Amino acid sequence: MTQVPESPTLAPPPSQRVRGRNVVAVASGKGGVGKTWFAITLTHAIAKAGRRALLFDGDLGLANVDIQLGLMPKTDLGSVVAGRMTLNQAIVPFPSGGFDIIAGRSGSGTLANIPISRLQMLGDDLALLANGYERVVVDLGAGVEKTVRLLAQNAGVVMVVTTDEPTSLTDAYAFIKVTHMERPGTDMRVVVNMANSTREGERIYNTLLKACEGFLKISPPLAGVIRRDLKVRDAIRNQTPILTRSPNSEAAADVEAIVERLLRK
Amino acid sequence: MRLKSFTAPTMAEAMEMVRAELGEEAIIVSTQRAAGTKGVRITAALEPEDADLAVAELLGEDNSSAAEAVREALSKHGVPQRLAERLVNAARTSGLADPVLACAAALEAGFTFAHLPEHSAPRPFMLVGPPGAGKSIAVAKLAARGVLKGRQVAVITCDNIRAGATEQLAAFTKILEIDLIKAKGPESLRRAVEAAAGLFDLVLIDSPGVNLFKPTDTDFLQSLVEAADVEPVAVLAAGGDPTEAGEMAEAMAAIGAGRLFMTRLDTTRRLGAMLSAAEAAQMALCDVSASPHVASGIAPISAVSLARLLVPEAAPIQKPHWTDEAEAS
Repeated sequence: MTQVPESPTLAPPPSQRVRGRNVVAVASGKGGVGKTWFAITLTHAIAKAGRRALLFDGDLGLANVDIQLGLMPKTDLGSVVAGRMTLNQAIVPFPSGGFDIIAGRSGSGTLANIPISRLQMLGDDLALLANGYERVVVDLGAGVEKTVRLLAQNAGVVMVVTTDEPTSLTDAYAFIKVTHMERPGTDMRVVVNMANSTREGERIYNTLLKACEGFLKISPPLAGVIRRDLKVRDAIRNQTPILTRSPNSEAAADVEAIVERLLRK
Repeated sequence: MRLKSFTAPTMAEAMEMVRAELGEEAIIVSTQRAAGTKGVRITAALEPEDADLAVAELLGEDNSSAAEAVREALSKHGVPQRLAERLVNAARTSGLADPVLACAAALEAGFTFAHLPEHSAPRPFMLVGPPGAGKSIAVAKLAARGVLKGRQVAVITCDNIRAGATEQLAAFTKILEIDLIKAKGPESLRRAVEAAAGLFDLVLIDSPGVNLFKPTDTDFLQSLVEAADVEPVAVLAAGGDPTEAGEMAEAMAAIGAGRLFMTRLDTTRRLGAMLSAAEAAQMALCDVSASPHVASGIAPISAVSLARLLVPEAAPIQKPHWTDEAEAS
């Protein structure tokens, strides 16, 4: 009647909060591939599809969502990081787009050197805030630094933006590789921006796909191709979202198609 | 990853150029007809040998090393910073790559483990602790363990303060078919212990839960300990504030407790208080209780089993470390 003592165990851990499932992070590796423009247009298209959306400027080094939109927000992440306000107090509505924004700190200094612990808290707050939205889009900074990766970890989907430039492709690959090694199973999808044609864009995607399959044994799917469109530059110069200024442009249609696929599931 | 494109009149020639320049490891990621000619344009990719290393280094800045994993685990358990720092350093100098083993090595170096004997003990054990620590259940569990092994166990209770305390323990001793001896004070306890001397393998004493921060309370416990020459064993519920637990343990060490028995691990998620108590009072960790059932859930704790509780995703080990000696032999 003797019995072997059972191995002691602690109380079961709290059930893993499913966080960030509705958060879409937009990454690129290389800068200058239209990441911020895509994040804005993506959010805008989500809002136009009737979903409650928030755009979070997570480019802590050089935030410029507000500049592209011609906004002069009174509140931004800088005040949140400084502890002057909570994250939800920093939300600024963008009525003409029908979505909300949390602006980064543009011009007035950088948040790139924010301590990791503070950034983690910011990520937690964002995950909490995301419960009040159907989709939250996070515009990540370029590169693969800890600050970028940490914000990407709060996302259910990471869209990696690339162009046909070899440097853009290799940097997108680097981002995919680092993210995959750090968090295997991350839902990463490729967006080819500024493609000369849809077919050309698919060829560029296939180039990246072959490298991912060959070296990493993963196959990130294609989220979509956005064709090169002069209306994009025109919209950015006028600090107006393209879905407002040129809603019938090819680039606008391409992003709306990406959103349609994103929301379908 | 390096990308390079090659243009040549034929595919074979282009492939030859890829091999010549990038070697056999390169993979072809794109093939196109070259613009304006009849030739082909191949794009090849090559992953330099040290690329994985570079990424590992990049990620390593956070938590790839065992010591960092230990640091993270201790922080999640709310282990006080100074103690955590000491353990992390010990984990680092252990040179072990496995976080659980590195943590175990650090615990081995920083703590003493001395579980309560199951078979017989020369001195009676008196379980002491604050109210609600689980002393009576611990006494019942230890008694049950002894009885299940066929030992002669005596249980004495000095807890005549709390209403129903004696009855609660009596319910257990009745099931175990042993007598519950009641002692009312130091002198009464001394007589009871003397009467039991030589007749039992194990004598277990339950004591009233006291306010460990109140000198008159601890003085009373001390008078019990001294009157009957028993070994006080500190009992604390795991969880709670680490500093508080440390100060309670110090108060129990002051009346002679050298071992710490932690209860209610099964209702706890963080062991900061347990480590803090053992370290503050320089007590040996003996057994832990991790089940509400009297007949089970008591286990001696070792550096490895504690490390496995502290560090997540412990590697599976075939044989449970805490199989007791009687079972192993």
